[in-house]
Amino acid sequence: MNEVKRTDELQGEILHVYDDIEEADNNLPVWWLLTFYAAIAYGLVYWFYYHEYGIGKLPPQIHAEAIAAAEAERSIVTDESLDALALDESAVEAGQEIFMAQCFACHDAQGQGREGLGPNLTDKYWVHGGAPIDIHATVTNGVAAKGMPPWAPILGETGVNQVIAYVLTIRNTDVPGKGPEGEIWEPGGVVADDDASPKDTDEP
Amino acid sequence: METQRIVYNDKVVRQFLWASVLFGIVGMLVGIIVALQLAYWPANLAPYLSFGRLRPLHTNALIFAFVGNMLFSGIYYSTQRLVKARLASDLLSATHFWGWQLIIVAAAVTLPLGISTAKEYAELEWPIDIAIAVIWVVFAINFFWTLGKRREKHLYVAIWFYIATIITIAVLHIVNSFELPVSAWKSYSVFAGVQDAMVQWWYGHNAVAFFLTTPILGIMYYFLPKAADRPVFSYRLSIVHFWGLVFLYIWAGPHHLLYTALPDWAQSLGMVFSLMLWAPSWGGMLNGLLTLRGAWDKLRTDPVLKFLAAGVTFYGMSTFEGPLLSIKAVSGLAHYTDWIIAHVHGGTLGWNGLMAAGMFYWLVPRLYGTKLHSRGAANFHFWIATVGILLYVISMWVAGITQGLMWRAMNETGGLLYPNFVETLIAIRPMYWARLVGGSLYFIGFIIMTWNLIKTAQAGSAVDGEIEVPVLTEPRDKTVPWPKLVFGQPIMASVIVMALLFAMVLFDGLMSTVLALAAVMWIVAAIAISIRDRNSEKIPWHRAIEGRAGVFTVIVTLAILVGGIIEIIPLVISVPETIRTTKNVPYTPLELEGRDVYVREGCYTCHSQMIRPFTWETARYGEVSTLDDSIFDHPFQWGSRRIGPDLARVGGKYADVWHYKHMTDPREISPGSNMPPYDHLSQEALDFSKTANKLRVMRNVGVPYKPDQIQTAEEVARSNAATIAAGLAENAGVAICEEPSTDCELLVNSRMVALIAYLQRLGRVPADKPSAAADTKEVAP
Repeated sequence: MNEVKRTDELQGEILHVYDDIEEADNNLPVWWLLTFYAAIAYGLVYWFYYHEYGIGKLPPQIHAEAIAAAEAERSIVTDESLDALALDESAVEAGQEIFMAQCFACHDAQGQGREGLGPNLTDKYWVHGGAPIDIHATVTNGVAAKGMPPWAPILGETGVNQVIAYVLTIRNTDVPGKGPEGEIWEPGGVVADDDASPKDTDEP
Repeated sequence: METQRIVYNDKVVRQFLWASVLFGIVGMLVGIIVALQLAYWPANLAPYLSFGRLRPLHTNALIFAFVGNMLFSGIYYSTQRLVKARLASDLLSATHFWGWQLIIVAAAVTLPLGISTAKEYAELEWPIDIAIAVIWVVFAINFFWTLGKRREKHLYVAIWFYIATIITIAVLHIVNSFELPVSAWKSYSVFAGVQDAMVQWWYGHNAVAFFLTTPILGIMYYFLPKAADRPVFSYRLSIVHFWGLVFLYIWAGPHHLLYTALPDWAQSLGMVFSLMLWAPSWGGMLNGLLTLRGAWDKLRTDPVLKFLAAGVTFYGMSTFEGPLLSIKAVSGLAHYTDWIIAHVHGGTLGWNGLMAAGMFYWLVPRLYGTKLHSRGAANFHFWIATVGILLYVISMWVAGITQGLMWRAMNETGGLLYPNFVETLIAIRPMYWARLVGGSLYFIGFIIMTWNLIKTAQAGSAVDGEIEVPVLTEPRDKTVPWPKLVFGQPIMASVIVMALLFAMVLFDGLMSTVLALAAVMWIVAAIAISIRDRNSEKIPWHRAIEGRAGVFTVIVTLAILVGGIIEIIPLVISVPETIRTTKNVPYTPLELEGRDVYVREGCYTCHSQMIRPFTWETARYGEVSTLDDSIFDHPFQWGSRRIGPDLARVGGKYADVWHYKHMTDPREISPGSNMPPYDHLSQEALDFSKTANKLRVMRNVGVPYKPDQIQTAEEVARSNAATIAAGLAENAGVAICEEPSTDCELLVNSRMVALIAYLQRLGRVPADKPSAAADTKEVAP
């Protein structure tokens, strides 16, 4: 090491020299030091606020409260309200848009169904009940065993209702597609396949 | 005074330099391919060249081959000169060089073959992991042996950073590679679920810290003052920011896991330590940029300084963005999006890439005793690289924020505004093209540099540096015994502060407040004392340890161990309890085989398995992920990026046929998707006779398989596969077969069937599987 101390006009006194690299020893920039101290202080305050005194809410708690609030706001849906919505053109149009984006993959463009995937929605046969409220339950909760996901969280309440409004307009249009599955449904209840006579059901 | 001549070993410096240039080209080329694949899926030309296999190759090549070779080159060049000694052993130097290149070649072969542990930046399988550890030890011996032979008593700041690099990377690599072999090229991590996540991101974050940052800072401290021919700004700033970085960096790993199932205390530690890291990081940038005081005019003409100054500036940008992204609320928006890709490329292209170029332009003329072939070409390289980085980073910022906002956008009644994931992907596709252009510009610059460097080398001939030194070296200063240094005042003050803070965490309420205040007062007092003692006559403590390489190394080791131990040990203790109480059950043999396919294909490079506690996230993917969900996962597959949707609860969401059709031709089911087709999985047979052994290894790492489950593994796997295949044949008319034949669409014992079994299991335990009859009766109102 070079023992002769040199002073640089900009960097000040040279403290050490290694392989001709000179090392000055300026003070730490004050603003820099303050940001460092501030970050350490913030870390301590943060820890106390969230973990020592539990004043702040942590993510799982915030989420649980949001879910509970949403649950409390749910409105009531009936056969009549859904039938009424099916007459509302703007709702049906919105429902069709959702259908093309979400339902298309399994039920195809016109709702005629796809082999191995979703059933034909344009015939009179319904696998999980054809009453508007049954369709609402199927769309809302999905049918895990058949690979239909629950759509309520994805579409929201309005979205579910709109897509049902659309589905109610395409039923019984008999687009050629996947063959019949389930039972025949007509307003008033399920009918037997052969004689088309009304039959008791336990639907709500 | 009698003198002797030392000839430096610059041969190995040249070797590493050219290897870095070569693998830089390869890694960036792979980067361009994977960028193209995201914008244009048909670029997934073959199964072994699909995105999931090439992305790990891209990251590993650029981190370990490009930057790795570059930093070995820079470390070996500067260390010899800073300590005035030739590298200790030519044999070790050569072993280091050729061993490392062999590892790189092994990586380049195995990763496209799907041989992967699926842990990011640590994908290489166990035999290569062992080779890395061995070669790293060779490097360490060579380095410390050279320090032992040094003729300069005190270690310059660059050497401190090299020491921290060598020690920390060894610790990180070895711990994160704890895995039990299943076969020659397959292993399972010993860590379970959340443990594995914590260990992996402790590793992943600190690989960035101690492989991409500290060695390059050391290189900056050597080459920047050399190129500027100006004194380094501040020795005391070096001390403060060095120890700040080394101690604080380790703690910040959990910021990769904010809002995940990782316990909240660890998440909060990750966040606050990341914020504390900001100042020490900027300390490095400031010391670099302020060293240029009095040399700014040289930036106009000298390409080397242009690259180094811009590199340091990008370092400052990235190390501001990092803490910003570590704030929980910001992470909520940015995590899993391209904002993170923007962030890492600001660091790699801007900091690592430009620093490498600056170093190469400075070194090659000196290593070949000539002048740089073309200054104009180097300046052009600088501008095209800068424009390329900006285009890359800005496009990925836009893409990341766009996608993050689209994921969370809800309509007025609580549904998702963009319920179809693919909409959010299509929206950012133009940005994928812009990124491809940015990356390509950068690559063109790199090619121009390569040409320029080759022309330079051809104009000269290889010369090794020499120096005349006195024969008698300074006697080693052993006057201060090492315990006095290791138990010196600064160490004891730090230990007491840490003990107070640790006690603070253990106690509640008033007691914790008192302890925190005591810690704060202690810090203030320690700083006051150090200021008072600054002008005393005795040798300052730090100056003393700079003269003692061994003591310095021990203190660095202690500093880097603290954070990891405190964050990892509690999970090592708590996970066995979770395993005892969980309702989850281990995977069936077929599901486990499917999981291995998921790992092999690199599905985690595009799909996460971690649903965060946000309403928009639970609406899209299902209930929030818990520790239990992944408790039997070796390795964990939480993922870090969503180019496709989260899969944590995809099980049961769609029919088997849906998965079969979707993987065969993703766009038939999901128009606009950029997922590569995986139709080939239908024809790839699995050997179920090896499944029992996989269960056995899983049991050895702690998964509670019963002996009869292991015994019947093959049989159960076959029968489950047959059931799924028969279902596909019945419901979708898929032509299935036991043995490959021409009109066969799906082999029964294929990877496809196993993968479907695994996907259908994700997020649900078998007991939860609802019967087909049960679910339609749950009417809402």
